[in-house]
Amino acid sequence: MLKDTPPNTFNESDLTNIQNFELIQENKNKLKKDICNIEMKRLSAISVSYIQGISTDIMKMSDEDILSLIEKIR
Amino acid sequence: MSKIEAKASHYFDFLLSAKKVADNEINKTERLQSLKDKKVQKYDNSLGKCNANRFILENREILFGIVHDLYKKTFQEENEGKRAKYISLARMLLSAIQKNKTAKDFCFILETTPALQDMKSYLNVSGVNAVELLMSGYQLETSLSSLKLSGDRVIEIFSGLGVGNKKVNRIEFKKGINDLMELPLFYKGSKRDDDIDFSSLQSFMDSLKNGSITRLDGKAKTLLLTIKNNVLYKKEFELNDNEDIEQFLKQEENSNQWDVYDITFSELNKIIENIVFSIIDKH
Repeated sequence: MLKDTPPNTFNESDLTNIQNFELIQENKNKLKKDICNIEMKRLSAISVSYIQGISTDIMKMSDEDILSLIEKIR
Repeated sequence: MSKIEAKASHYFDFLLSAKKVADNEINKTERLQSLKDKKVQKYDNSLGKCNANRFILENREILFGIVHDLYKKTFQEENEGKRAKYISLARMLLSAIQKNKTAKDFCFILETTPALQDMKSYLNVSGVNAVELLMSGYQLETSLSSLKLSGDRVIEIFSGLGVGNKKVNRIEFKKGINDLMELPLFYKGSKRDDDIDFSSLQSFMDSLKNGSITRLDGKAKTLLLTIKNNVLYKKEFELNDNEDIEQFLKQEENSNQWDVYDITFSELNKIIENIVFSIIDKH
């Protein structure tokens, strides 16, 4: 006898999902990468805005200030 | 339980386990998709608030990469002079971003340091900027024979014999001016497969300067260009759609009918005039 399993717990789409498991994993990994990339791009856009919002002329900044500015940007 | 029932039960257990794992992955994927959508929205907001020019926006990660490399080199370098040079270069790049400078300025900064010259090839340069850089002499080396930017050959200039064995200088824009015009440039009246010669380009410029409407028949489209108040306007048509063109010309007084070109006339003028002057100098 087969196990008493409710009939709706396993349908055709479940089988398709199992068959496409590798594809689902690929999509998941791609999404992870996309999220990282988008975040990096967002941070770099924020950095550009930050730099353009600095009121002091960067050319007149001291070496220490430049190094400290670089530490702040992404 | 018969042998076959036991096998079936085992198989079904296996399927249920596989379903659980697959469901789990699907849930994760859905959550990640939702997270990605939110991140994209946040990114769009950040980008919307950023007033930098297109070149900086497109190359910001490369530019910051260079700045961070310089930062690392500063701490690895023991020679004071070299350290100062790295910081100075980083300062110039950051200042160029602060002042919203163009591609030309960034390339000039990179040009000053042999170690950074190669970085130029990683920069994403639009067609207009590519032509501008070409005209400014970057990567020209000793002749106007070729230019490579972003791995693509942008322009090739060569001499040859034209009709009646007349020497002609011909130009083929692989990327630059085609981006500028969004279609291959063929002067009206020239044969479709003719290369442009420089007298035609000069005529083209003269025509624009005189405020008339210039018609260009490309490979796929016909383009009308005109200048009003020093702004370059364009209107695109299906190739040789004379009926539409005539209809348009009847109403052309209305400026709303024209589309503003994404380049000022003076920039276009500079680009094309420089092409001509470069050739005159050469020959």
